[in-house]
Amino acid sequence: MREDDMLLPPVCPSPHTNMIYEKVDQPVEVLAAFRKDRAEPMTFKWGNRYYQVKKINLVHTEREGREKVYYFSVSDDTAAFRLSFRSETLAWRLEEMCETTLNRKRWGKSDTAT
Amino acid sequence: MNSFFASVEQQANPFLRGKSLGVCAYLHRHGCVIAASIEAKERGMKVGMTMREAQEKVPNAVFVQNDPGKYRAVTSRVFSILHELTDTVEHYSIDEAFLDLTGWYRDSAEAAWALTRARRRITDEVGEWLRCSIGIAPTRFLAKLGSDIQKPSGLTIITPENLDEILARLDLEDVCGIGPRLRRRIEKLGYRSLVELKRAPIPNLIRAFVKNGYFLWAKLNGLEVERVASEEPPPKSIGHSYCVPKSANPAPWPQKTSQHAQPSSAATFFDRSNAPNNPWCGVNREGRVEAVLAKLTERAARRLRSHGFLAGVVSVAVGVGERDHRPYGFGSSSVGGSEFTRLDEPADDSFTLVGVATRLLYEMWDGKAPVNFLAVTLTELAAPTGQMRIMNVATRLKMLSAAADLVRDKHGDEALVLGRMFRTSIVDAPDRIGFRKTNGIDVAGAWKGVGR
Repeated sequence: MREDDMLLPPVCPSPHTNMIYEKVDQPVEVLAAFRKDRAEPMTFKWGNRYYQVKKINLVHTEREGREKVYYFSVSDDTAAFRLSFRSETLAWRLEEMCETTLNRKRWGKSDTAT
Repeated sequence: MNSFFASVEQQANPFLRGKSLGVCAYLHRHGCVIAASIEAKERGMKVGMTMREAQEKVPNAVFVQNDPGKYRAVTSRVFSILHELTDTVEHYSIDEAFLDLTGWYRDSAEAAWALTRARRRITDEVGEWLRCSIGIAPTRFLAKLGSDIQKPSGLTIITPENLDEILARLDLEDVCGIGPRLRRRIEKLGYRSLVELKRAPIPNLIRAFVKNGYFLWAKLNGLEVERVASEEPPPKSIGHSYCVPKSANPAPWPQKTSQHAQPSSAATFFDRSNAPNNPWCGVNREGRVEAVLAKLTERAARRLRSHGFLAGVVSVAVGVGERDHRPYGFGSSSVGGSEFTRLDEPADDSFTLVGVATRLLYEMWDGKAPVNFLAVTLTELAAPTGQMRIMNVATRLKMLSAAADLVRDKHGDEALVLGRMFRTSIVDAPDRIGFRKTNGIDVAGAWKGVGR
């Protein structure tokens, strides 16, 4: 197969950068705060690990029929995640993540990220 | 907004900030860069370059596939803030708006103060990485010119007193509406700068460019020729197109060796082996060309019905053959064509429109050659006459389409699809963003208070 024929993954880092994108699409357990005018995921559990949300960078919504899906683009010190929350099923999912390869060694360990 | 799509991506993912980032319509080496971050622009990446050209220009760039829902949501929130300043806001494009502040603020200085506060609110409430430039002027044209002068985060006030001074600093092509061709024609008339063009005799310009000559002169002289339109005009045509990706064989993209040590980790997005939901399966290889055209037509038909119009003409364009991907502007060896059919009676039901579009496709395509481009356009749009009709097949199809729309409104677009769309997935002809399209931007329903 020629290199030309290939489609690339949704985030395509160059060999010179140190970023890895991964489509996850898995259910996660989330601790969220419902404040006066907004909702905020604070911690989520994916696999056997807990991740503390350090910053909510962007929130956007999309409609799928009657259902409204809230997407939270969040990050901690080493990776960015996209969480989704469905208004009909009240289910949280981890949609995708982007991490820097400089921090990859932490993934191999069994300790938590929190 | 400055470098809008790229800034939104950098806002969502802080690890992209400060990096050269290109947002592409398709992440293919020949995919087009539709937005470049401020950092990438500084290093020479330009909108319209192919991904390969951009990579050659900026070797350390990162490329991201566009995410229309994200951009629309940010635009909704930005426009919501702007709607608090005045009652006349024109949604010019996905990242530009004109505000008529006449009567709301006493002078340019007060308007500048209000707009600067709005910009601060955008940063505080929507995202700290978002940048926008402001242009304040007596006319729409000069306001846009002013907003383009200083990027990012600029503020330019154009008044009749400083107009000549500002125009003298600019090139002919710096103003909206003058490209390389018009520039050549203007220079042939002997006008080499915007100031010369501003002072040109009107008859000369009208002789050369007819009424557009007058409009150009009037715009440069600060006369308003187009008002800020807060209401969108009805569409003249509705259509969708899709560049069919070239994926000739199923060999997988080199898989990432996941070190995430997630025991139940699903297949990564790079994995091509998880068909049929595999995003990289070939439309041509699996014989889904007709299905993709049906999907495009159905989507256009649904938009047509949402506007309450009927279509009189269905046009289909198809590109057939291998693209040779010459550099931009050097043409392509791809063949194909476009055909249209005028309907006996204007229609809005999916069955009629998809049937006509499919027939047009097979008039231009033998069903074997690889297709690289598909487009469908509905034109001669008109509102229903209100004439009562005897219940016939056409009426039943219309009612069936309306009923299907209700189901999709409730359960999502993929809940009910035509049989012709069998085996298409969400990655075939996905949602695309249009620069000048502001469809789906819901200002009133904007999410509030989410930025931190």
